[in-house]
Amino acid sequence: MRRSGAIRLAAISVAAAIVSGCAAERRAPASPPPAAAAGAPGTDGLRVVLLWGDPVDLDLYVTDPVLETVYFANNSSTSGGKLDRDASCRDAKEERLEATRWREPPRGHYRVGIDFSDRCGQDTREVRYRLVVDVRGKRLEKEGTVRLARFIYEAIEFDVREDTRAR
Amino acid sequence: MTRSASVLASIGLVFVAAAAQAAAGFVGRVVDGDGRPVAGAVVSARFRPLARTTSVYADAEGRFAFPDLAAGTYDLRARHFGFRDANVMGHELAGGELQLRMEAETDEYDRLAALPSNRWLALPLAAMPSAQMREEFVRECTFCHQQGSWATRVQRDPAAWEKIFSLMARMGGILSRETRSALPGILNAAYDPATAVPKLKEQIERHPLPDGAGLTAVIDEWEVGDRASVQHDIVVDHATGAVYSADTTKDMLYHLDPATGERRKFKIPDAGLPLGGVFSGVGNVLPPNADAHVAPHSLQVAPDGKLWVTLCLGNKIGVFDPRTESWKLIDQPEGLYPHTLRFDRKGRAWYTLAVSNHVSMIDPATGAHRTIRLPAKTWAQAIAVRLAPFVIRLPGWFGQPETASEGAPVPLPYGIDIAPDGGVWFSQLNVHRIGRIDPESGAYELIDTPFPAPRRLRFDAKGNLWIPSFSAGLIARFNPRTREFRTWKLPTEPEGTETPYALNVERTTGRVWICGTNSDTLIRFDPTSEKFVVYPLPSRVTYTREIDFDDQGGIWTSNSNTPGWHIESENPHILRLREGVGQPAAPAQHARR
Repeated sequence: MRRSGAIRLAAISVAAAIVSGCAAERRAPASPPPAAAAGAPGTDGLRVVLLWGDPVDLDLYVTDPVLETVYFANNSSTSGGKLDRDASCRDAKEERLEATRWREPPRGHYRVGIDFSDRCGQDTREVRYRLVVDVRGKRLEKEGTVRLARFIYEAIEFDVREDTRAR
Repeated sequence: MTRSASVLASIGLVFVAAAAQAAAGFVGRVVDGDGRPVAGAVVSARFRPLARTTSVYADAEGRFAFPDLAAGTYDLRARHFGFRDANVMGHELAGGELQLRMEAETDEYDRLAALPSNRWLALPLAAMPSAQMREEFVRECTFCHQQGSWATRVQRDPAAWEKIFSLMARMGGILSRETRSALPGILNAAYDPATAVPKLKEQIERHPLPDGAGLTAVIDEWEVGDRASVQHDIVVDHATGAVYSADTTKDMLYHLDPATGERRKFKIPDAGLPLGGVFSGVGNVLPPNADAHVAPHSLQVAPDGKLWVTLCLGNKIGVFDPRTESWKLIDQPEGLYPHTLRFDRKGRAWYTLAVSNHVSMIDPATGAHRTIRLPAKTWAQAIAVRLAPFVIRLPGWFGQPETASEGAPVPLPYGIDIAPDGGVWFSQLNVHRIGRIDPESGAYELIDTPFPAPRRLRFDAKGNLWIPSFSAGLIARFNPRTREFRTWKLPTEPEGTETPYALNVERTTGRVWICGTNSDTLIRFDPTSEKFVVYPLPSRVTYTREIDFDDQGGIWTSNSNTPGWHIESENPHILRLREGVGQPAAPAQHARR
């Protein structure tokens, strides 16, 4: 009896969730700011900037060649990476930007992840973002969309080919 | 069938050459600045070509003696609480006696920073208003890593703590709203150096650290994997003497030959799955530096010599044939998250399915594959485990949560073992229950445990079931015939700060070995004398989750702190402890019931 009741309740929940998911009003995500908002590309070091337009919380994750990740809970790494700015819901209405930098980035492979961690009370399910990567004066850009709680592990990957510390 | 193998030749081959020139190990004495013995110091010798560190304990006179080591150059270190590490780099193995001189640590914070994580964990625990919150905090917040380690005993803005709790929930560690709102204040106050230092000084005077003096053991640590690795479980292959480990975050199976030190690694096929496996796209989060498409978790050697590996994120079982170095993957048609696996006497593989609350069986002889749903304890859990497969298959159909971290803890079938009578016993970690499945009929019975968080359990040769309580810091013996539990609190001080993830029982002696998961120790319990012996491990932030034995009396485990770079050497190890090797003396013993 209890078992069949649980299954019925589960079925109702599934149906409700589907209806809720389908019927929800979806506001078009705002365009991310232009790459210029990340500032002019520097001539030295590495800087990774995440920009977005909606007043929600996105988080930037940059994993360095020694496999340590710089993000809001580890805002500096043994390789010299630093999270310049961690945006949160508290300041989501002002500046939607997170940035990580290395003055002397170690040579090797980097992986950038993006997480849409909090809607900050907004009716927003998808956010458009722009990633700007400045490596010793060269700029990479990528624009994309991230959904709430759908971590993008490999939003962009790149290599730093010259060990700037050796210069 | 997919073939994928590579060899760590640079490590293995160099050592094979070196092994032929084995020589007597280092002997010497550890003294303080005044020349007095530093009793119980842990002396370690790292052999770079092999990436292996061997450690022994100094006796009451500060004397130490290593077993035979390969000829070559070693980095030596003496370590003892209250002193700065004494390091001698690049020392040639040769005759003569060494003297390692240790200087007292005069910086009070640095002295206390060297304490094991559990000592720091005691600080927030003492500030929590209820036993319920303490239990919940220990169970959920030490799930993947030590609590109180250098990386976790930090002060943060409350908003940053809240983001961490959200992320943690998406990795499976779900806190109640009450605990979640109380923790930022408690953690920030507890880990404030101004208050932590005097409290830790008082604590260490009241509860001195377990002393290595008198312990006769040799500990070997082989570096395996990299900073993003999690060597979750190990298993000894008794036919060959090799040891295998499962690197969960790198989709890798490692093979270690203890005799030569050679390590090999075998990539597990990703089955075409994305990062995160079948859970990709449903809100769960991998460590951001992980390369886990299938995520090997638990492993055992089948009667035919093949390795069976649960692939928790791939939702499959991997079968590795060491002869052909090839993989076969078996789909899990029902249920989610293959977890811990054991073979019964008929050669059938039994394993828990943690997320969906099942136990499954595969009979390699017949191909039979049966899955048994276990009961939940609440309606919310029953619904959650039944919805999980739909959410994974059709993530886009479901409304998204208000935040990214809402959810209900599931019952979490966890440890599993086979009784001498063939019964299949399991634990449900979050609902404080164990159970037995009749292997032929599939009928089950459930038994509430008089303690929380029963984790990885094991039978002894007499048919008693030994169970670690992850959040209560105790071990229990359950007699299936009389239905009686008996418990012993672990000797780790302060009480309540240990998180025994797993234990195992030496079938020949009946002695129980327990992971001192939060205290960087291995703990031995003798059921006859009811005495514990605590072995401090040489490295910090070790986080161990499984124990196995070889045929020479070696006790094996591995480091699986997540992330791996929290580990002192920034790299996990496969670890072996051999008792009775080194200084002959009676071990220090502690009795507690």
